Amino acid sequence: MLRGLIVRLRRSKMRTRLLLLFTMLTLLPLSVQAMVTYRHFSSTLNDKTKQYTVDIAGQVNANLDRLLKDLERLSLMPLYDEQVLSILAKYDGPMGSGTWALSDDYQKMKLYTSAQAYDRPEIRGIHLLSNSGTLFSNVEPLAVNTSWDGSRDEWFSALDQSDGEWIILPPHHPSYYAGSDPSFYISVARVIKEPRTLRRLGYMLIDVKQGAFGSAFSKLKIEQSTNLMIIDGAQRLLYEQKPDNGQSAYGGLMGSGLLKELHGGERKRLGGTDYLFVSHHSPYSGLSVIGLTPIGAILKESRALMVFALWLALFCLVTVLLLAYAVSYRITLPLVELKSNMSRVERGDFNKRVSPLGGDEFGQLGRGFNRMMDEINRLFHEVLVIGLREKEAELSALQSQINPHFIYNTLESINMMAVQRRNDEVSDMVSALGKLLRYTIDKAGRLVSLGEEMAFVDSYVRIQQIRYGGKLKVHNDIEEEVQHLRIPKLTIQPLVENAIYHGIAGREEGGTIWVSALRFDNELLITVRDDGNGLEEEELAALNREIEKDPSMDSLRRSDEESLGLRNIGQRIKLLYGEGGSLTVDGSPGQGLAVTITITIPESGGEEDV
Amino acid sequence: MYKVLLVEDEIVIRQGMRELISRSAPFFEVIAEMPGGREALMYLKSELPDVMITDIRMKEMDGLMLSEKVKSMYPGLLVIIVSGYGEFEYAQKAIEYGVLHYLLKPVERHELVSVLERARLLLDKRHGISSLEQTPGPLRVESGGDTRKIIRDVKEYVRLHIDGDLRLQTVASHVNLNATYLSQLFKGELGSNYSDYVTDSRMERAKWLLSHTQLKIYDVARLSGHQSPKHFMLVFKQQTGMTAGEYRNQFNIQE
Repeated sequence: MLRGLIVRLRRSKMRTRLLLLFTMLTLLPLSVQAMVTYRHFSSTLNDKTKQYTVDIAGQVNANLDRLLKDLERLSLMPLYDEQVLSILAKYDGPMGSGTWALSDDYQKMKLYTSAQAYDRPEIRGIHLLSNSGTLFSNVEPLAVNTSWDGSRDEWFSALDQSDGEWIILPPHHPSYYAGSDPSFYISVARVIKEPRTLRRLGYMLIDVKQGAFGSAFSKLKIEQSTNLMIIDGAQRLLYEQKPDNGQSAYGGLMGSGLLKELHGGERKRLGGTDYLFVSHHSPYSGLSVIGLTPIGAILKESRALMVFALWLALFCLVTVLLLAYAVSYRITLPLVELKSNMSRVERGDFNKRVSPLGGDEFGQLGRGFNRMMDEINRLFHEVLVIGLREKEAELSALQSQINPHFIYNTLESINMMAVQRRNDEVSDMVSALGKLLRYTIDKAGRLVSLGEEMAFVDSYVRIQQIRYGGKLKVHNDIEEEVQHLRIPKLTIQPLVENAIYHGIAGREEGGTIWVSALRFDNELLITVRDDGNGLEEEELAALNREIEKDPSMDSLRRSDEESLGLRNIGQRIKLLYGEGGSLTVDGSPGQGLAVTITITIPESGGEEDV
Repeated sequence: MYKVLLVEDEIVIRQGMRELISRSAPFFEVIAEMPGGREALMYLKSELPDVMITDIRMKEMDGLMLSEKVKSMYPGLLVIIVSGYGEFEYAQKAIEYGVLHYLLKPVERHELVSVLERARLLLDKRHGISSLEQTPGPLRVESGGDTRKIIRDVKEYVRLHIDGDLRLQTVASHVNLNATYLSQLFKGELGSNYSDYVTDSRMERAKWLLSHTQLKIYDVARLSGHQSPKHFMLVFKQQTGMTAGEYRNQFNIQE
């Protein structure tokens, strides 16, 4: 699959590849960084939460310690009061045998307990219980029984069995409260003994409202979903601060039996939820504060971060894609332009050039392309111009493109008809015309030998002589050694034609044309001279200028001009030989016109095609 | 007179060509005109001209195909092609078929004449005639002329008109001599009768035709100047001891 992907990538466009590359380059480090950040952040958060919960548990325990110390001290107070001790001693006897106390004693005890409970709203009541069960309390006499049998309540046995040290009684429901007070109280209690004899005199009971424990948490900022519990050494629940959803975790914790083995800072699974477990033990009170925070709640923040990070990543992705597209578009723009230009070239449009070029490789490529196109254009035009000119020369000889064989056969018929009627002049003219046509149409080669061209000129002259009667005289002076030299086809004949039309036609007395070809050093000089009217100096100069002009499409269009023939030949020679060939016109008024073609003979002797 | 076969589908050109040949090439005579290759081939089954002038582009069978066929039939027949087509491929084919010359239409008169002149030289050589001393027109004998020259002229006349009228009177009037005088002159010079000489010559021609062509026996008889095929076969048997067919088979087997 990966290989297939690579193959597809190879085939894809440059632009797509760049786009992909940029996107990968940007997104890869970005996503790695985001991942690392997220990891780091969430583990830090975890640690922080743990630490914070531990701190809170410690704080809670400290608060509790303060409260309990206070209560412990309170429970010690009767030991320093002789009056209280004596009163308690008065009502000695087996539990449950207690009777009404003396009003005086009662008042004294009431005063004492009330004083102790003064300004302590968390305390429900302070009770002094004699061995026989007589109860002295700061609570209103109507709300509490004055005599009470301790054996009636289960929790009491824990106190009874203790030996003078202070103990905490987990939430319980004391039966000495009159009426139906449903509340549970946590009590700090102590067995009161005669300090000197260590004889048991009674019990001190301080009932604290459960809310007082809750106040230990009240000023602390606690995660709303955290479950905080206070348990005593026997793992009994003293207080539980329930989370917002009101679910108690104590039952589950007890049921799972995990409570004993748990240590602070562990993660535990409980009832389908992961919790961070934190505990703090107070060595003073023997109480432990346990915090259970659902992992989900801790991760809520990091999850928010993740969501944020994802949004950020999405934003980045879109931005990067847009940027990458823009950049790859910008980079590949010259390439795409080059490509579209190439395809135009394939369709034959050589005029397209690559526009604004930078100094980079694309710029160089574009400049190379432009140079190439210039060259192609130049060559193309050269070929086109040469081709058009030759076509033009041929067409000027034969205006219509009738099947040449038909023409030859027709000429032969005319020829033979003339022979039959013994009209030799017609026969000669027709066969010369046939040769003329054959030369212009059939000879495909661009170069012919000078001899061939001269034979053609002779045919042409023969016809013209018949037309002009005896008025046209043509003298040839061709050196033997130049006969074989190769020259462009149809170069001499148009010169002769030009000489006939401009030099001789229209003149009553007729005229003479001299055609000469000779070798001078390494140059071939072909001159066609007439004895016609010639040209004025200015006209001559203008004509030579016209001939000197560079070949162009423009000059081809103006084909109806007088000087076309000469310019045509001159430009063909220039196109074929460059600096090595030229055509000049010379002469003066009344002296006729001499047209000279100069061609540099190649080293090989000019017998090969150029 | 050498015999020319003209093959050309245009009647105007044929007529002009015949006129041109009769006017400018005195040793040639157009003996037949054919409008196409097929007709020419039919004609060649029974006749044997010396030169064939043919066009290329014709209906049914073109000049090149005709040349190819003729080459296998009569390798000695000189073919001149006259065509409007100057294409190289045609010229190449023509060379392959051993064509004597390839003329382009429209034909320049002197070109055709010079080609025919070349053909005449070739044919003369083949017939053992020294062309240099030949002069166009009827043979002229100077008064009191050389007897040997007269005899040579007569021999040449016989060779060139082997299938024609070779009666003594005709030949004698050709060389401007009295028939009886010529007969005596001939016998005095060669030691044999003029009529025997003609008979021998005709037999030689017949043998050559039998061995070199596929012409039918009666055509051979006609072309070698025998009036009737029957007479020819009789004479042939007497002369050679075998029939004409047997004689020809001899050569076929050798090949």
